[in-house]
Amino acid sequence: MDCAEIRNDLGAFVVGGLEPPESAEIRRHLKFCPACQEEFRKLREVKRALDVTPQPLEPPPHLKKEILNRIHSESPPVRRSRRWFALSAVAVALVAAGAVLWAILAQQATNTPVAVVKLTPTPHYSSVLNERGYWGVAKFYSSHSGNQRVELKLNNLSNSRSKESYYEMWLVSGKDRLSAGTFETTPGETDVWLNAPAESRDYRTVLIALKPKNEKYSSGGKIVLRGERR
Amino acid sequence: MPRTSASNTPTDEQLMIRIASGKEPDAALSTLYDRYGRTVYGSGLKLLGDRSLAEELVQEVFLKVWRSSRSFDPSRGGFSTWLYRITRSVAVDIHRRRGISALSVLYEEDNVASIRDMTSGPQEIVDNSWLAWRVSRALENLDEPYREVIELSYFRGLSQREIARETGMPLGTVKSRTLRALKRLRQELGVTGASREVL
Ligand SMILES: [Zn+2]
Repeated sequence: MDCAEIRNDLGAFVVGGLEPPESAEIRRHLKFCPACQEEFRKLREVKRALDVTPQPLEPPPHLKKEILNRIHSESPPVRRSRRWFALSAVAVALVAAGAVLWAILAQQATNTPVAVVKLTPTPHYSSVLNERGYWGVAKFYSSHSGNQRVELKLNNLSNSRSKESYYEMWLVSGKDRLSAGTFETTPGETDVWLNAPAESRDYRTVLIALKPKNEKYSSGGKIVLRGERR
Repeated sequence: MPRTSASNTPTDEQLMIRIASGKEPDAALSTLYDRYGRTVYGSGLKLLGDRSLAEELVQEVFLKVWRSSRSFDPSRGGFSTWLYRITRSVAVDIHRRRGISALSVLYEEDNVASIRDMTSGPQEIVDNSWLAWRVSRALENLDEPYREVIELSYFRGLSQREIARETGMPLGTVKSRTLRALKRLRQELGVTGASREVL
């Protein structure tokens, strides 16, 4: 085949759509033809861009309807802001009443934990942490929003050199996990409050993972502590 | 299809102005959804690895478009870039809120399962997401025959012969159209500012 014929097949070649003998012929040609190589290189770049691209998929049809319904129940941004002024007096009164209610509920919510989970070191960390005198618990409180408030009391978890890393609390059920947020420790006692989504109430396993700061997402971290909620 | 401000097809940016100023805003959002729904949904699938999370993402993204239409400033970049940023930040929110079951296997019972072993972490996926977004936009802007041939040959993995059989096109046409589609895509990516640094 000459260059022109090769070129015409090059797109098909790049996406792997040729029959094996045809591909073999193209490969042979590319070995000694710099001009066709250059064409091939350009097309391969496009193919690599396609490699990271999701297949175009129509979202389920109900989705658009749901979105349009939801924006119907909201006024367009402009009109909403006008209505806001009209309603503001009522709103202020409601907010004030709400704040009182909130305070009462919040107080009730924080009074008694619904669960207290002892967090123990995972095997890899047990000797170092036991030596350091570690102990810790997670206290779960329900809140009016449905979320769970979690108080972590962790003693002697880290020494002062742990500035490069932080911790994340996970709630796990089977293969599903939910993050309750991240925190840093202080030498001695660490007392932090985290928020776990409402769905996490049935997630019985509590994990505390240690993560290096410079790789926010690239790893889930190392699991240092775990506990089971009964 | 390429969107020009010519004729009566409003640009994305013009549609945003209509939403912000309350001129048939629902219809404007609906049109933007038709143009970008697939791109946002595809990004969601890629970033979150799960259909229901991707649907949640699409909802939240378009609600944000609606609610923050007035913060969109066309002089600071096109709609597509703005929407990409929203999509990405909503995806990160959902990821933080839910954890991603697609990344599953959080730990094995025995010990210290380091999740490092996962082949590609979310960060890596996020970093490719801007390129993926642009390619997805370029595909949307491709003329139908070209988009079809990319869909069949690349995404569905059909051989050129199979495509000829399925569409009734002569094999030679399939081949030259595949070639031209890839070249168009490259051009389109260059035009929308993708170009050299990644390609
Ligand atoms: Zn040649």
